[in-house]
Amino acid sequence: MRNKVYDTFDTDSISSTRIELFDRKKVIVEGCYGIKEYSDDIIQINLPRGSLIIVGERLEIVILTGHEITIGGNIISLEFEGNVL
Amino acid sequence: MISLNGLAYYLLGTVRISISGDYCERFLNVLAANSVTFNKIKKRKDNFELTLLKKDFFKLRELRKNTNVKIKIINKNGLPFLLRKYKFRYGMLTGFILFWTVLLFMSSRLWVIEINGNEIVSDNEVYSAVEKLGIKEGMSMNKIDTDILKLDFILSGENIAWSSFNKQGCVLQVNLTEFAKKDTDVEPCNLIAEYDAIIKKIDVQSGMLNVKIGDTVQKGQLLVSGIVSYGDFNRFVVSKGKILAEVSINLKEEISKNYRENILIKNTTNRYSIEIFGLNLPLYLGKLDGNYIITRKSDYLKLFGGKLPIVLHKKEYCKIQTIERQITENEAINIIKENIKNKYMPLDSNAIIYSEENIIDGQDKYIYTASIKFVKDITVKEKIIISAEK
Repeated sequence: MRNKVYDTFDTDSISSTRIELFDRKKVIVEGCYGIKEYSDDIIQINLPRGSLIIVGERLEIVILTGHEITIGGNIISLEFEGNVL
Repeated sequence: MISLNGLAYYLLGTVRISISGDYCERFLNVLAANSVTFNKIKKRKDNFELTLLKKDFFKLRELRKNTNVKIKIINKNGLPFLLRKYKFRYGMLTGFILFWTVLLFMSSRLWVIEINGNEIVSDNEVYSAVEKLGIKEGMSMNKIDTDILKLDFILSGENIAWSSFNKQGCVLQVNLTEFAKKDTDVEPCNLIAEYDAIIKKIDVQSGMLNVKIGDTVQKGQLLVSGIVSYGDFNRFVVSKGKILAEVSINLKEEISKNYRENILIKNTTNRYSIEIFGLNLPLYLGKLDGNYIITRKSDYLKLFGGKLPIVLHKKEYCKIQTIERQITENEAINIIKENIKNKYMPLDSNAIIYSEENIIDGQDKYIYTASIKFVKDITVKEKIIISAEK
């Protein structure tokens, strides 16, 4: 029996997001729907409502698993985009 | 330092891949949505590099549909890949298993018995006593109970006051404390004459002297008394000293004409053997014919100062030739004189005066008669028996 391949995240399973920031060197985002944009100085993550833009230097995704992502590097700012409600 | 996480990844096996194409981020999202864990994600100029588990790698084929990405393997790391590389190397596997088996086996065995603290009791006596308790090299260390051994060992030996057994790795240390040596010279005694003699010199440290220089004494005569009078009471002492006297003996010795002599032929052959856990393995072939004098020497092999459970035995074979012949008169006299020196042990073995020497050539023996004079210490201890009168 072939396993079902999920093309996108199941957006109904997550209702809230949790963000942990460690000394501007590491940020853990729980409750996200994957990445929208990825480069050395900007990483954009899909959230249940809108997206989160992380701006910094030498940014890299340390680990991406399920609905959790860990980003490392020199973080300059965190910015929310999109519909808050 | 290897973390548990890193160890887990190594054991499961990881693959580092690079993904390139227009929708790389979409592909990453697809991986995450389908519970594929990946890490060490690096963004390069026109591709992404990431590391994922070996089991997840096989899912990529299905997952990359509709994402239009190209996947390239950069490297594979981990135990599964290492084992696959040596899949058909049975010799290596056998050697690996054999090595660990031998190592585990040998490290659980008794290699060496070390003995400390013995002065009166010899090493061989201790080894024999330990062997009687069921301990020998090569046995399992787990079977050795040091508490029971300690008690049994003390009871087995007269001279042992205390003992302890310690297990240190593959070595059993036997530490002994012996009873202090008893002074046997504590019982009161007299000194009496061993031979008829004329006293030449006196050197007495304790006891009451009964003779003087120039006195003629008979065999058994009291020379130094161990009973010393102090007015109304007597004291018993240990008589000590030397009395040198001139001894005159008329002797008659016989010696057989047939003499068997072993002549050493200068060929010496060394033969070696090794002993491992009681199993003796010779390191030579063939055997030697003829008569030999054999001297044996054994020693433990050592590595970096520590003893190995391997004993090297060396036997030195000196070939001898036995000759039977008849001795001449002069040879007979020399042999007799040598025997006299060993028997009487004079003060100066070269100062024996021989007179009235005569040798008779019998049918199958020589009969030698002579008068001999020599100087020696003629004192012999005689114990004083003290009994209480009722």
